[in-house]
Amino acid sequence: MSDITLLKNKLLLVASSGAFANFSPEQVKEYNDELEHFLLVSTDSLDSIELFNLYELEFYLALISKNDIKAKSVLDRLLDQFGSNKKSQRIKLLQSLFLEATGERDQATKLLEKNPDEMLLSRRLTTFSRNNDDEKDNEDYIYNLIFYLDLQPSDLVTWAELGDEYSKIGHYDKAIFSFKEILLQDPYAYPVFYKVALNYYYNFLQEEKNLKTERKDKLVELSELLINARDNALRCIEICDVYAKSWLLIYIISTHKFNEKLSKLDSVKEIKDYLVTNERLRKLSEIKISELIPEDERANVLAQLQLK
Amino acid sequence: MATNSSTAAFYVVGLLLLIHSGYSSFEFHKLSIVSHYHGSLPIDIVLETVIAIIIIVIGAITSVSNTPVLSLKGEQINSRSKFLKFIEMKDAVTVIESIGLSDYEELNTRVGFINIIKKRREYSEWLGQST
Repeated sequence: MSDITLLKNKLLLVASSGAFANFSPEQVKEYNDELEHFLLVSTDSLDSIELFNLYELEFYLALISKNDIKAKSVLDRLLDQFGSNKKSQRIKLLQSLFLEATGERDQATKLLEKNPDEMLLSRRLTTFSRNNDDEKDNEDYIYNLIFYLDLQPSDLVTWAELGDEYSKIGHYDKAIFSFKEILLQDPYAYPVFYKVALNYYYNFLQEEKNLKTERKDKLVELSELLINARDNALRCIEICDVYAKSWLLIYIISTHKFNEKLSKLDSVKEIKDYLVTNERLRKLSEIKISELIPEDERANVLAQLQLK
Repeated sequence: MATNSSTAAFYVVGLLLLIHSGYSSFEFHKLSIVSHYHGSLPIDIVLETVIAIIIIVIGAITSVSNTPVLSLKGEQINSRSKFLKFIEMKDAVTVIESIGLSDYEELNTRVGFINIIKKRREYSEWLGQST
């Protein structure tokens, strides 16, 4: 397979998965240059669907990298092709993004609220209540997301957004509920199982910080959060056993110092089982982590997990 | 490239054998009519047909070999399975995971919710630092 085809497939995958939305600025620059060069020399190897998907990617990358002139020219090219289709929410979304990015928020709002039946645009409209300066003060945004979910309860992407918003402000129980809504509709979504596990773990850390007494019932209650975190991480691994972050979470849980406190309670059957399994999981997770995560990246990933 | 040429070789050999066996069968039937022979088709023609079909099937299987892909970091990733894709989910997901994505990437990237103002600010800050 030629290098051009390999590159084409990679760029199309980035465009279709939306991976560019989570790119670092370095990656945005790198992909912008790569795509520009590719479109310059290899446009002939693309069919029209591939070409316009790559134009869409070019628009997003240009907009993120503040190259508004290029973003406008790509948008005009897309409008020339699809602008006559007044029902295209995808095109209107691109137009509204351009207007929002260039400071014409009112015009973007007008475009998005024209037809309340256009759910993709209504969804975008909710983001206008987002607080861009302080992510932890997003009550209005959360309220709007819930309002939207009342109208469109099967929108999994919005449930994921709501879960992450709750997680940012430390409402881990509500974040878990949101992620579980996704799992009800898509029970094999292993990255979501990991997110549920992570939020149970954060919930445990939050509760542990507030723990004032070491009463048996309180410790048992806390251990349930850890057990839930571990079980969800294990479910993630059961579906995808190369999901490194989940193995790392299992390692953290199995080596947590709270387990020492629990060892005094081994008269409780659930806790005894948990501690016995923990030892086996610790050994297994150590092996898997050394296989899956390069040594120089391990400390970085570990730090990200324990930041909260 | 090697796979493509071996696939073509399988198809060519298989088709030649199949055409040859077809022509042999045609000749046999013509001769049977002229000589009033009522026996069955000779075993060598049947065998030739079966072998030709087997060779074509092998060619078809080799033509669906998995092609390499580029990961997000630009590394070339080859699938663990040479032909066909994995059926079991736990094996199938390893391919896309090795690229740096997942089948549920949409739930992670959420393009419809992209914070374009924040992304542009981050990019400007990075540009400011790197220059």
